[in-house]
Amino acid sequence: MILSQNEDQYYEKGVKTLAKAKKEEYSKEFLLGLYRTMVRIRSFEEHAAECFTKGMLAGNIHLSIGQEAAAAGAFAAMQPQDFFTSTHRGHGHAIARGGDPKLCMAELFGKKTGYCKGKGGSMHIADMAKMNHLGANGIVGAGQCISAGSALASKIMGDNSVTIGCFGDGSTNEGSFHESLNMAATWKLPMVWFIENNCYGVSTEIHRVTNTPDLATRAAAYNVDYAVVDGTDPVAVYETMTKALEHARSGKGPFVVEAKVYRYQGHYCGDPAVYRPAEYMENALKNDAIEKMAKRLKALGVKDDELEKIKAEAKEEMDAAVKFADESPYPDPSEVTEDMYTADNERCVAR
Amino acid sequence: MAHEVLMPQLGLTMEEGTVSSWIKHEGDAVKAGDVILEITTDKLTNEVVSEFDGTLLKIVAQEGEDIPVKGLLCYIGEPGEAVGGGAAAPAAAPAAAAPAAAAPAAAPTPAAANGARLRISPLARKLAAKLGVDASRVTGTGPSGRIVARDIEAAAAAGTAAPAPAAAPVPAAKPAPKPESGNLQEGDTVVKLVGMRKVVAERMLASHTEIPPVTQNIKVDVTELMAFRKMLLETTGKKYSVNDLILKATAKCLRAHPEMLVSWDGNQIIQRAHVNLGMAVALDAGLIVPVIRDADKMSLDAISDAAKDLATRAKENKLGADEYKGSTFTVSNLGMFGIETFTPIINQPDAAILGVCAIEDELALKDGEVVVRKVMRLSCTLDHRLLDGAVVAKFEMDLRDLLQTPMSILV
Amino acid sequence: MSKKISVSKAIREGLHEEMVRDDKMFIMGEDMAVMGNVFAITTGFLDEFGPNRVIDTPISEEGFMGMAVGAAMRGMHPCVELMYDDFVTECADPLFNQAAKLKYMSGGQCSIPLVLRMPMGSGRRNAGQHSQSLEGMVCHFPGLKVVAPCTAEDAKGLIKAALRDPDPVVVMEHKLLYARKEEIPDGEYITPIGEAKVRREGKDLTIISWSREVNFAMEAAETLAQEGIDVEVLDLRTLVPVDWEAIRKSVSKTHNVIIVSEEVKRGSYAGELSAEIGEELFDELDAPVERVCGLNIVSPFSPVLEDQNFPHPADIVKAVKRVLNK
Repeated sequence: MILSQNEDQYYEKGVKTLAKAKKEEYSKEFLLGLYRTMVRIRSFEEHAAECFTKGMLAGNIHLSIGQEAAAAGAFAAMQPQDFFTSTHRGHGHAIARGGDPKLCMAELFGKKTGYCKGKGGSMHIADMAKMNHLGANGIVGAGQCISAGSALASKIMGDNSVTIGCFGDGSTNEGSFHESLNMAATWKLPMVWFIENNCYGVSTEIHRVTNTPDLATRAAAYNVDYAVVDGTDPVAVYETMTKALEHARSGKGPFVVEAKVYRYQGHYCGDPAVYRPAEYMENALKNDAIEKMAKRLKALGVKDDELEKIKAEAKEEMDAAVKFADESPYPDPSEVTEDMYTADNERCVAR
Repeated sequence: MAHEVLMPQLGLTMEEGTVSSWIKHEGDAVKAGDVILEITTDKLTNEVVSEFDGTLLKIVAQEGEDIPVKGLLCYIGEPGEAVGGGAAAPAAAPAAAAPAAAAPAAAPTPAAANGARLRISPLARKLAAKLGVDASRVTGTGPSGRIVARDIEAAAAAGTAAPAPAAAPVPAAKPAPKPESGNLQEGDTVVKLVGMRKVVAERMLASHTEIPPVTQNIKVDVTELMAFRKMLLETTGKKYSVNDLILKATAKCLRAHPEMLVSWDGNQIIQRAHVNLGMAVALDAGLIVPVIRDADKMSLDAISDAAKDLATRAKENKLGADEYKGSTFTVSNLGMFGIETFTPIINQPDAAILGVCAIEDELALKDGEVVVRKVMRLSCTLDHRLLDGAVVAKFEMDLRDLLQTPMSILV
Repeated sequence: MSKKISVSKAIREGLHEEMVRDDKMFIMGEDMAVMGNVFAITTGFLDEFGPNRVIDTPISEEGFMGMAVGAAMRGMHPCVELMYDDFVTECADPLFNQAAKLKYMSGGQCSIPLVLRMPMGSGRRNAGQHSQSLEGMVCHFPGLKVVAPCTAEDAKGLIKAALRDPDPVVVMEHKLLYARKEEIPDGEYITPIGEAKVRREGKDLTIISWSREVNFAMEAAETLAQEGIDVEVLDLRTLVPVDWEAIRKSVSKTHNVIIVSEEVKRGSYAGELSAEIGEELFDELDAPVERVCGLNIVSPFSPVLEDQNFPHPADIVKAVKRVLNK
């Protein structure tokens, strides 16, 4: 399935399946919504980076600056009953799905008020009840099986929900990718996999360790439909994901979408990423999704003021999130043994 | 809190000492300066003097026990005062008193009070405290002779091994003989190997097993030497012993034979620079070898004085730790006991030892006539790893010649 | 009323009763549906419950174990079988990093009500990759519960308890117990997780064991009784959470303990129990706790060699006498 065309030379080898986005016009409000989500994600990440640099955070963080369009577009296509899994680079997914930045930030701080009461941290934000967020995961590829399992549950229960497994390029070389995609395909599970390909697994460029220009193409081996899309265009991502979700929801089985994105930062916050060629960031900045969307909105008559206002609101929102996180209490040390088990916690953890 | 009396550090190298005997007993009044117990370290016996006035409240370290430096020996304080190991003030117990904390205050038994070396199961230990059994007097029937619960129960039932009265602790030096060890017979007693005896045993065994020894005897005509000694007495008024003369001659001869002054050191040989003469001194408790340093540079007078002083102080246990270390050659004199020849064991790290035997009248032929001569034998044991028979024979011959022409000893 | 059935039939009964009772439950694993399991534990289930609830998986242990975790997060009650516990290394991440941890790491937002059945143990001449007893490995991971029944009665009672438990439960079933026929009560019953059972009362020494070695311990106890040594046999049944009160009670009575398991001795769960007893019950012990386990070797193939590897009744007898010095 060919959906959009990416002119980026960097991806020359991998863009053969890309097609142009549909020409149909979206409402200004819809596009502003995508813009707002992207700006909020970036603002959250920049605030988190600042807190990290100031030593306010526990542990380290993996930022999704440069991948905002992919998250904004993909999650706009999801329906409320849908589920998803995320990765260590997953702050953007939570924000895009409507997560509360306060609770996200508090989790990064290791505070009691965080989504996981400070027991998971940056790599493990989850909100099962409100967001149907089955959790970000510190193990690369773990979400592949979990999303397939959630889809299996949906199929058995017949609840009309699709599960979206979000993961990066690196994890497509895990055995779990192939094991669970094979099963999901065979059993026609309502599952969509959303690969955000930023080309780097920590320091290793994906094509140094993978023999195909695109990653989604391996879905063909399991007779699964797939698409490759420009991940800096939230509209293209939205359209592709809408199609993919319809496909999965209609009982035709899984669908794999690969979005080509950029990771502006190194692997973790503070990684200077010296292993990347200079052109990577040059192309990234040329293709900056927020800038591109701002242009598009201005072409539709949106004033600079309005865009600046969105940015200012995002900053204010994230300032408040940092303040909330900073002022929140740490968990009480006595909570250390809680939440290990559902039944009989005391006896289970005592020995 | 009562005062703690700790094992003193009596030398740089001292790591532990053995409680040889308690002079004061629990309940005795003690004044600062009173000797409260004797300890043996390495080869010496020392007295431990109280720094406090008061009453000896509790003896923690039993006779025969090895206690590390700064280990707890006893408590001195006012009667009724809490001691560190008691249940009364466990929180305040300093770390050094930890071994004592194992002793339940209600039934202090010598074994449980500091029984780290007693092979006993945890349950048996608890049971012994409860039943008032002195576990140190119980023979174990568990694996490897461990005292297990049934042994304590049996002892309690039989009424044996009742705890000793606190005021008169049973010395651990006389434990119930264990039938399987050493084939004890009726009336035998067992004494713990302590202090000097232990060290002598270890050193002699090490020397005997590590060194391939050869002993070479040589006969010395000391008729002239005895006359010379008499002459010295007459002219100087000072009575030199034969041993003084032999020490002086040996020191002189060793200077001429530096090949004798070597030590074995693993894969290398140490050439010794000094003639440091070890001098074996017999004591009731064993044997000690004080050292006359640089004996080759000393006058006969000085050697004589040094030998006398060292021997006297050795017998009084008053040698400093450095005074019996660092010999490069040793002289062992059994002449006064009438020994004709013997095979002395080398005092490591020396390479040889000279045994001096008794002087006896012998008949000899001189110019075809039978004459009476005073004769003594020297028994020199050498470490054949370092020295060969011929080398040592030359040393012995030179020493003999020196002793047979005594004037040359002093030149 | 009671009836005599094999251990595998007892497990089958437990699974069947729970499948009927709980429509969130489904069974997943290699050869579980059409074939009805290599030990015939699920024959007929496919016809009765349909392909959505009795699922033949490909040979993708990590994949289907991970899917079970995902399904459990969604409120399903997956019952997964690994054909051999040796294959737990193939699904280590979903079991140890996901199932065991997601509840805690999400701050208690979800539970993972899955059951993993893993046939284990030596004695079938299957060599080093199909004969292991990996209790030590499984019990290491906080977040999992672990049961290892010996009798047919407990096999059924514990599988039912496991299926009703909100936490992930690993059920370790000894393959050589499957064919053993024993009395079990009629009708539905549950064996609670976390309760050990004294199989034989005694006063001289406690043998702590589980799974197949309990039977060997009972044999050893009979032999020892003839020599006047009165041994208590404590069948743990559940390894996590362990029934500490039962251990404390028995050890405080007999004061001597051996722990018998088929595991490789080094790093075994038996070692963990031994350490716990040493720490907590030191003053009750009249001898060091001894572990009677497998050797520190790969499980051998040849019958002659394999029989050297896991503890037999005679080995247990010897160990008891050694501890008691009798």
